[in-house]
Amino acid sequence: MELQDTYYNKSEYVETASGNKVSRQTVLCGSQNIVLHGKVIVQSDAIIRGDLANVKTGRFCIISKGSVIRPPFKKFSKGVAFFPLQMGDHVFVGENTVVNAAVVGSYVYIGKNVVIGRRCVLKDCCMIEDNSVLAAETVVPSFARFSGSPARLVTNLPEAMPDLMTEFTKSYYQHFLPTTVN
Amino acid sequence: MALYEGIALIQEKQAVVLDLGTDYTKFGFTGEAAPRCIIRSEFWCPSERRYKRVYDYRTPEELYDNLVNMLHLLYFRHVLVNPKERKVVVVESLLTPTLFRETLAKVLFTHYEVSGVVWADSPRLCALTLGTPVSLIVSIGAREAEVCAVVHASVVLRALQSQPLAARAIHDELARLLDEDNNTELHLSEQIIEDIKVKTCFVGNRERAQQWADGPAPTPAKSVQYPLAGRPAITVSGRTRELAAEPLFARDNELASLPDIVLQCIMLCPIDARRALSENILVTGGTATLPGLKARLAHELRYLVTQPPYSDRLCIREFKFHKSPTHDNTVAWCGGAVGGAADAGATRALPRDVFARTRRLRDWACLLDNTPPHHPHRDQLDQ
Amino acid sequence: MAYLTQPDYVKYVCSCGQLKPITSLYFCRHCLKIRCGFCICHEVDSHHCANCLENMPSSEARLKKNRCSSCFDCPSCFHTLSTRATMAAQRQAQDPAGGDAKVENKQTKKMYYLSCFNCRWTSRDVGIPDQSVASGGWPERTNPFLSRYNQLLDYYKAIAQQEKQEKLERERKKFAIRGKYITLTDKTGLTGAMARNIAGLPTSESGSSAAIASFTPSQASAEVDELPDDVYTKDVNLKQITSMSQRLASPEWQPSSVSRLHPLAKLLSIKRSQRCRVCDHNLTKPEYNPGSIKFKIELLAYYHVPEVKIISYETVKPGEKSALLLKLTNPTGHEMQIQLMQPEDLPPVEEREEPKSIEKSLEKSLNLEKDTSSYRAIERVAELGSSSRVTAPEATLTLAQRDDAAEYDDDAQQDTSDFILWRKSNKLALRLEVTTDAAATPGAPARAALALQYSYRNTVPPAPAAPQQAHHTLYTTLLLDLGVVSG
Repeated sequence: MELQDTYYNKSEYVETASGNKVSRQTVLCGSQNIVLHGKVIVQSDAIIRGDLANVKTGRFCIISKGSVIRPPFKKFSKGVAFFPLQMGDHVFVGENTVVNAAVVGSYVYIGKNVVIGRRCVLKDCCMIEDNSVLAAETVVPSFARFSGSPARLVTNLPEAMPDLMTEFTKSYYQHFLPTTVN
Repeated sequence: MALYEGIALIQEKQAVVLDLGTDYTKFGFTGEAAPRCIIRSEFWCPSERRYKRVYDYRTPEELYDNLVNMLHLLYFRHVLVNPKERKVVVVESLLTPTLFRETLAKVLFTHYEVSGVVWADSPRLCALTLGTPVSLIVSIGAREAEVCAVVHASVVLRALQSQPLAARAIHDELARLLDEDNNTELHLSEQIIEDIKVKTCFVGNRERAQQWADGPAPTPAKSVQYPLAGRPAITVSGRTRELAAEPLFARDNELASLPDIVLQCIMLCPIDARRALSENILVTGGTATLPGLKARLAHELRYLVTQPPYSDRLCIREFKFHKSPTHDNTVAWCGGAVGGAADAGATRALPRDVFARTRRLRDWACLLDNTPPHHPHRDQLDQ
Repeated sequence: MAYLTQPDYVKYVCSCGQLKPITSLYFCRHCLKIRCGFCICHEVDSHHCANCLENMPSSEARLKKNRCSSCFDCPSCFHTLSTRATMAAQRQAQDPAGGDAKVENKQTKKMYYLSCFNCRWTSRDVGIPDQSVASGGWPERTNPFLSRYNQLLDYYKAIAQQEKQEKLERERKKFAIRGKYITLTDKTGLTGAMARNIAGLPTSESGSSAAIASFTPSQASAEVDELPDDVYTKDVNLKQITSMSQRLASPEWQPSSVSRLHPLAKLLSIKRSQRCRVCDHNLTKPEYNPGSIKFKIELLAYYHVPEVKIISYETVKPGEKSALLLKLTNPTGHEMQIQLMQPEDLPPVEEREEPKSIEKSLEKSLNLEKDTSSYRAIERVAELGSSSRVTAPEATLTLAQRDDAAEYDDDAQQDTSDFILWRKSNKLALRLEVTTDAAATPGAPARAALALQYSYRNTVPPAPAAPQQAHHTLYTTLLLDLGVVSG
């Protein structure tokens, strides 16, 4: 099915020069540590914890409503240290999802109500289905489709996954339109 | 000889052994002591978005698809070898439906292009792991208990016994008893029933079973609270734990309980083999791992043989049991692995080109395959 | 993406008759046919560990039984185990009640153990001593049944050997009688065998007979494993008993008690290449690097066959007409002519096939029917079972080539007609009409079959001997899912 248009209130969103569309109803802590690489959509009530460590996203990422992007920590004998969180291009993060991963590759689809445990590594081209919980330090290989709690490999993804994700995030961006005043 | 073997290894890829059970599939290489994987006989069906069991099929096409998907999972997820140009040892029951065998042959030969298939029946493979000339194989699997007499590497076919007295019967009884224990209809999934069985159930001895049946009831074993996800825990009473496997030993007028079919199998065998059979019993199959099951079977056999109708027709008073040289659920697989490795030239394999030409499999039930060449009717069959 | 999160609304008919979404189809450029995972040949390309991404040559993988030497899975929940480091001396200070206090030397030394972040299982739970190196060195267990198994193996190998020897000798006998010279010293020859036969010795004196002689068959005993006496009185601790999946995860040991669970070496993953069964050309071939998502060869239908998507549709009612909006995309780098057709109007397969050059048919006959017979066995006739008909316009639609730069100019070309809704570079939206059979039962799934005729430009460099034509007219059939027939 073709994607339908999603409309947003023009006054609610800030559009940057590089095409990022960020809702005003978000919590962006430590915004100097957050880099959105262009054409990224951050929807309302999303939280990005830049105050813990750097958060970097690629182009055409979609951070849906109520999701939390939070750099992971690691316990050392001397205390706790936070690590930067990197996200590739064309990543979709579903609603009410918590991402504690260390690395999220490109062309990754994360469903809604998902918990990505701390220091997980999501390789390029993978998919986490809705309502899954990824235990800490899980490595999700490329072209893997994970589901369940704890999430496990269910099946493989088609080889065209990069193109599917590119198409999806681009058309999502194109269909993410301000409401016309009338 | 060593040099010869080396060359053989280069020439011949290590064959794989496939034991496609109703519940669990055992898959691995010949010459290895244990299968590489024992997994549920099910696969992820993307179009139906659920796990689908291999044995759930209505049409031959569906079975074909199931087998293709299952073998794909086994080859490419678990054993990680190319199926092409590699031999397969298929461990099968003597009572495998013809449709299943033929579809499996089609899948292996045409879809996966294996170079040859050795069709081996599980009783003889089990006997192979013992090394004794005569043995009585009692294999209790998921659906059926089969009793086979193997005398000098051939199965006494007319003595073959089979009854639906296996894991399924236990599961049904367990589900019924659990409903009784908790006074509700629980509708537990097969997996949970299996888990309860594996973790709590055992087979009590004969006297206690008698007491349960005729009263007064003995002191039951401790009951267990079994936690369920998202539901209150259920009670598994001691009585349930002990009696879940009772259907296997329940006797009625048809004399179709597990000990009965063992004795009937012996009774149908040639008289000079009977004593040897009763002294070489091997109990195998996944259900045989249930604690106390073998002991109970031994008790029942020793008692029943003194009762009519057996007492006046069988002069056996002694029953001896073998310990399998591997885990009970992989005995037949193990026999396949030994047999496949020993037969390195794979002289017993059905090669692909032969199958492509003739398009048929040998089967013991087919007159074409079991009529001796000098038989007077042989000529008619060959036409 | 909709292909992964939604049911398959548009299914294509593969040349083998399976109905699949376009994402799971391939396109063989040499046969010019659509293929799918069912009718192609899969091959293991290379082994690697999905966790540490280390490549392993297949010979080594075979030796290590397809398991990674440094990564482990939790035996309890099958999640990957993490290596945790502790200071040996500090650990004593920190938790004196820790699972094992087996610290041999008092000096501070980094020690490692394995721990599961999902279920909190650690290698200390089962008494595996901590290791001084971060990876590897974990104790390996041998199969308890291995020695008996090897005895059996030797025995049956010897028997097989003997059988073979006997067969050989029988043949030699037949052959040797005609031979003129029989060397008396011939060890395995006729005379030797005869002499041994007369003497009543076993036929062959190689090592095989020794293995046969020393083999002891299994001994049966009247004793059977009885139930332990405490079974009726002991409390059951469910947490101490392993589940079926935990047991079967290690087929060699199958522990029934939680205290005997050992870390499971992680199973390797593979890179898979796929091959067309008919022409033996590769359809996909991944790059060797385990972390790479690129392909050396990637002949997906998604890149070669026009993609059809449903934009929206009206509810289908029996005997009535409803509107259907479709989007067509040309994924190729060449202009494409598309015509919509009815599936029954497609020319039969034989006619569609390109006239084979003589060389090709010769090659085919030489190749002993090159397993196309086996391909035929896989082939099936697709069941379309459509209750609705799409009214196809007669006109031929032209779709521009794919142009990645075109996305920046937003203006839709105003080349619309009565059925073309809009056009955007290589995309096109159509307004079509669906006529539903009056006999369609309400509540039944509404499906409409549609055929496409499209021009395809073959970019395979033509073989020098046989000049191939570059332009082809190809056909494909697809099935549109239009919800359910409403009452």
